[in-house]
Amino acid sequence: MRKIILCIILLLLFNYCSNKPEPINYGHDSCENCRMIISNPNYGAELVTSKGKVYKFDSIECLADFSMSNENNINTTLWVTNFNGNAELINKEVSFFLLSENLRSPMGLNLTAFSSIIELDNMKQQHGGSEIKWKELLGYVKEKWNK
Amino acid sequence: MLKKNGINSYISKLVITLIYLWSIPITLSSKELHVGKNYNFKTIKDALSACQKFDTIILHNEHFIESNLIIDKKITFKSNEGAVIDGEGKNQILTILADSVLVSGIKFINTGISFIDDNSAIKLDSVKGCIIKNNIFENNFFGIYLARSSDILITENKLKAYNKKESYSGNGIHLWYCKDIKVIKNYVSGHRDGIYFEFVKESYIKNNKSEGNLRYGLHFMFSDDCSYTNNKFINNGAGVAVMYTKNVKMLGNEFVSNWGAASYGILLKDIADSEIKNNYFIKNSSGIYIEGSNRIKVEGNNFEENGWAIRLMANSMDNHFIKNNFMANSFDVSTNSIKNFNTFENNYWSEYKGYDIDKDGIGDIPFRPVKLFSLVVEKNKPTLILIRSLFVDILDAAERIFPILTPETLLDNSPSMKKIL
Repeated sequence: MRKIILCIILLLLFNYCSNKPEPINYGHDSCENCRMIISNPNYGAELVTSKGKVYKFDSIECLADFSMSNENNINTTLWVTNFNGNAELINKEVSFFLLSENLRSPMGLNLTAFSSIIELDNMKQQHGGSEIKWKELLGYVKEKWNK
Repeated sequence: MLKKNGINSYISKLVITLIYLWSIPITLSSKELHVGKNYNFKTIKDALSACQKFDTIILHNEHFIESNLIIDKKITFKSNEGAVIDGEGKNQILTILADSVLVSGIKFINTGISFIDDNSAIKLDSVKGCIIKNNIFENNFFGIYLARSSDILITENKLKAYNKKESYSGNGIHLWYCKDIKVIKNYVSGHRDGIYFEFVKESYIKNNKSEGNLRYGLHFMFSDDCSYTNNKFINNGAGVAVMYTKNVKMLGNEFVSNWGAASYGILLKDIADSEIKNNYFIKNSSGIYIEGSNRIKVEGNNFEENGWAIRLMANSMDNHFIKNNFMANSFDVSTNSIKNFNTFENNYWSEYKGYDIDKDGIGDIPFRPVKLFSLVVEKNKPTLILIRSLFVDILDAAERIFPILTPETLLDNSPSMKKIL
């Protein structure tokens, strides 16, 4: 019995320490960067610090903006939503980004994320636009929001 | 005789010319195309493809099941008997691609829901001079959607949607990259955002009522030089958001009953050079939340029975709060720092406990609207449970006498003794 309780406690502890993203409660959580209620499940994003604190965002551009103004925070992981309607969060390191005027993101910079280059190409063919790497994306957000 | 003949022929020529000129407007004048079971046109699509410039299409009292309709000529599209166009949960209903189109008296219902396309009951794309008047919209994804348009009047429409989830719900009146738009006397409820402005210039919103929308009653981003006047924003999920904008005028509006953890009468984020005058903020979680905003004049407003009347974040500067009434709010002003670069002058505070010995109507000792406890709450929300405790009263009283932790410069040096009318 004791062992089980110990296990549970340990499990809980590990759970709280992990820096995994947590699901976004659409319609209730608000964006850390622009303060808006996060409502579009194609665009939610998260920043998780090394201590496991989760910051939530309504769009890739807000995540990018926030991550630039809080750069001293090392070992953070960034998460974006795969643009397929399932509201699944994917790590920024393995994501591909599309900049397309016809896919309008919540904060108006028209950025979407995909988990594979095939999905991205698919959408690119349907809606136009061009792929953008994370570094360029940061520059683009910086330039657009004059910071 | 010859001369007379000459004159006669001259007159007859003139008469002929006049008759000819007279007839031109007649041949050019508009036709009326009637659509309905007992009329020439059975479907709206047929009438739209048959019509000419300046024609009027009249829908008779029927339930038309049609979608993806396109108006690409300057026409009037109306119904006097309340015809219904039903999209049956698929696609968009009507797209307007021509200037100077009038749409009135029609009921649009059931557009499709889409995660990629902004399906709407009426979409106007790259047009000028259109009027959308006196229509009813029910159960649509987006109601009226304007893109890259200018000089449009949207008035006396009624929009209602019933979806409970934000992601299945679009905006009531949605404007994107527009200029010179007037949104007057509309009623919007149940949409995601009631009225939405993104990249809009020089437009105004007047006498509308936006009620019970899932997210914001009004959502306003990157839209310089706009004004909103005498609107009512009641019981919306998160109130009104005004963001990333310069030179906005907010006059005579009512912000009522916007309750919730992230609900605000107005959320101001990165706003500059704007005016908030003569508005009513009643029973909101936070009346105004101000972050990163500069040079805003807040004058003559009434703040009654709010959780926080004003939450002023320290990254805001040079804002002036003049002649407002603060009555029965749990917190009048709260902030998150000891620094303050804003001024308060001549406001009426129901919490003011000072006196006026020289009887000039202005309290003789300054009023400090920031309670120590509000600073604690700003850092740690759950402490709110202690709000009515004796401990907190003592804490606040001590801080009021020797301000150490609350911003020393955040005070009203000339508090009014009487409510400002």
